[in-house]
Amino acid sequence: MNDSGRRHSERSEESGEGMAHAAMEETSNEGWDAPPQTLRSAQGDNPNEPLPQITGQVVQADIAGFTAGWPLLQTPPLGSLLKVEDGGTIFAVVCDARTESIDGRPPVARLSGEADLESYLEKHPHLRHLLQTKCDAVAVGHQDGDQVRHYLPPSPAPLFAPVRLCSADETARFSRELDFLKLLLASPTHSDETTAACLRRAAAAHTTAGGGSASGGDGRAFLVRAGKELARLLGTEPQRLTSILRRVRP
Amino acid sequence: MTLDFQQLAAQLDDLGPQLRSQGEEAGQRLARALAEMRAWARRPDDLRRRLAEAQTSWRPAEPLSEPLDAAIDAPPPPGDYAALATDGSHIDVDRHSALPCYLINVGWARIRYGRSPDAELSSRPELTYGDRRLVLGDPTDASRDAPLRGNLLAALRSMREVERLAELAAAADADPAGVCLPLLALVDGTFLLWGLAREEITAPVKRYLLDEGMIPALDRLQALAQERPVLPAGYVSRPDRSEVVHSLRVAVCPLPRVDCRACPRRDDGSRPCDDVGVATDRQLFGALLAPGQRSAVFLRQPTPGSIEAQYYGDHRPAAFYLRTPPGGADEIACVEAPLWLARDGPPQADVAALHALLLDQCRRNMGYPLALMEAHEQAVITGPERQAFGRLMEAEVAAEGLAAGTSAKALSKRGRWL
Repeated sequence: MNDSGRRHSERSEESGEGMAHAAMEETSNEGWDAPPQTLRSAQGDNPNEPLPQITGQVVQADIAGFTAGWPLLQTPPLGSLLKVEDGGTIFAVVCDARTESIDGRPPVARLSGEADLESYLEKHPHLRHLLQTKCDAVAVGHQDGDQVRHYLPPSPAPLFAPVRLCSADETARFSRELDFLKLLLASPTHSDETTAACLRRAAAAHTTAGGGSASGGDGRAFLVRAGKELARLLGTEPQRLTSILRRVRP
Repeated sequence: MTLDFQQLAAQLDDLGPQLRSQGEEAGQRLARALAEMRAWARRPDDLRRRLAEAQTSWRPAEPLSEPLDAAIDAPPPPGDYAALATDGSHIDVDRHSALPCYLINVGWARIRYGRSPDAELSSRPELTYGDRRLVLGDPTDASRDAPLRGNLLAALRSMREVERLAELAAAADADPAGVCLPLLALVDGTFLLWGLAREEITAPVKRYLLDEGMIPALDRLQALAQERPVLPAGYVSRPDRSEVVHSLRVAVCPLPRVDCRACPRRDDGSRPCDDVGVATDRQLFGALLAPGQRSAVFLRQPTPGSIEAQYYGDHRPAAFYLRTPPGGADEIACVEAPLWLARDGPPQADVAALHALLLDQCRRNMGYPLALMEAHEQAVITGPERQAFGRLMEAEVAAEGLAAGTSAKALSKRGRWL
């Protein structure tokens, strides 16, 4: 951490909101995060990359979120915004992902020395039929007529409904209001990491939507606003607030 | 809990000493059996003659062409081949259920290795209900109608597994380059429908299951094998057979022509052949074979009038023992191949190919052929699935407005009525 960063850390102990603002002032879009550590991401943390045409499918759902199956080893990145459109529209943020055995038999590592996963699957072609990739997403809003509501949908996502990654424009539009942060912070799985990853991706989306200025443009303004909202929501939990803010800094 | 473990524990007190004592005796018998095996391997004609003359109720086996004590290494497996396996499970007719019916689920795995890898794992359930379809009728005598349940249903399931194996083997395409790959075609266990050997099984039942089912399926596999490299085999993990031990018993009998009815028992009641009386062939070949090696191919002498002699003809199973390769569970397996495969072609070429492919399959799955394992996983009907099946049948019967008809006994098991 440089001197400036240390100063901000010291100051942050005085006031959560002050800290939030200071942290955001430092933020820029340069060198945004490496892709999350999924086996193979459908997309990195940069929503400017063209969207791959992969979709998932809801396999389990409740009001608070859903689990979706995805093509093998292709998980949407942590914190990315998903959209389920089947009658209504539900927005949700990826909070976990995994690849596991389809029938409950635990995979046993054979340490056979294959250079990479693809060549391993070439040698053992049946494995593609026995593994499945899934991600969990926490519901953060839904479409209500022309309005996007940042609270839980009236009913769960329908089983087998298609799920897709939102584009940068959709992500920027959805995150204009920040009420969804409360739902993210209450997520039972990796809530702080998910919130931070979601803010990083949303900031990049705002930069893209705002024309992609070199200084970070709308992305930086978005993060400042988000930091203030986090400070309000986590006023009584300064350590948690610090933890999230550190994760949205470059 | 109704099993009284305290009473059970008291019965286990003698277990350790007994097992130790048995182990010492078994070690002595095994050493003698191996020595006899090596000695008789040098006298194949004498052994063949003694086996042919012997009057025993056992079914001894003799080597088809290799030495009795052969321990043979496999050639390297081809890089490109396909492994096909079928397996089955069933839900038997339950007279306590709402709808008398049975379900046979045949699962399969077809895996292609090499330059164009691919796999198919799937299963096909077959539900049968209706009074007339739940019996194999005897056209001449209604009292001899055979209900399709228990052993008979198990035999029907085995027949379906081999039928499906033949269908899939016939449908196995060439690889994208147009080359017909060697195809290993496995079933779990044996091609022989042992369940039909019992006396009460009537001729029409045998005709249906063998002449109209199993044998035509084996015929199809044989015809395919004449066109392309198809290697059908039954794989028995941890077999309990003792046909080769029986042959050794015949070999060492002091009688010039073996006749068990005239056994020259010793004063302590033991038989002279007990000196080589190893419990199973598995122990014998466990001592003889190194990991990855196979034994000679053996052929059992069928009992005259047995289903093997009457129905199987050239499909009679020849068998070799296989010690699984290093790196997985170390066990002796028995591999059955139809006689036409074990005997045909350049000396044992198909058996060598079968050996090589089985070793490759075992290496891929900790000592048990991978395709067979995956076929089993596709076929197996789990406990919860069985319960769900029962509920589905009840719901279907109720939806038709018919009385559920569940038995009083089945109902009473569902809860304690107070």
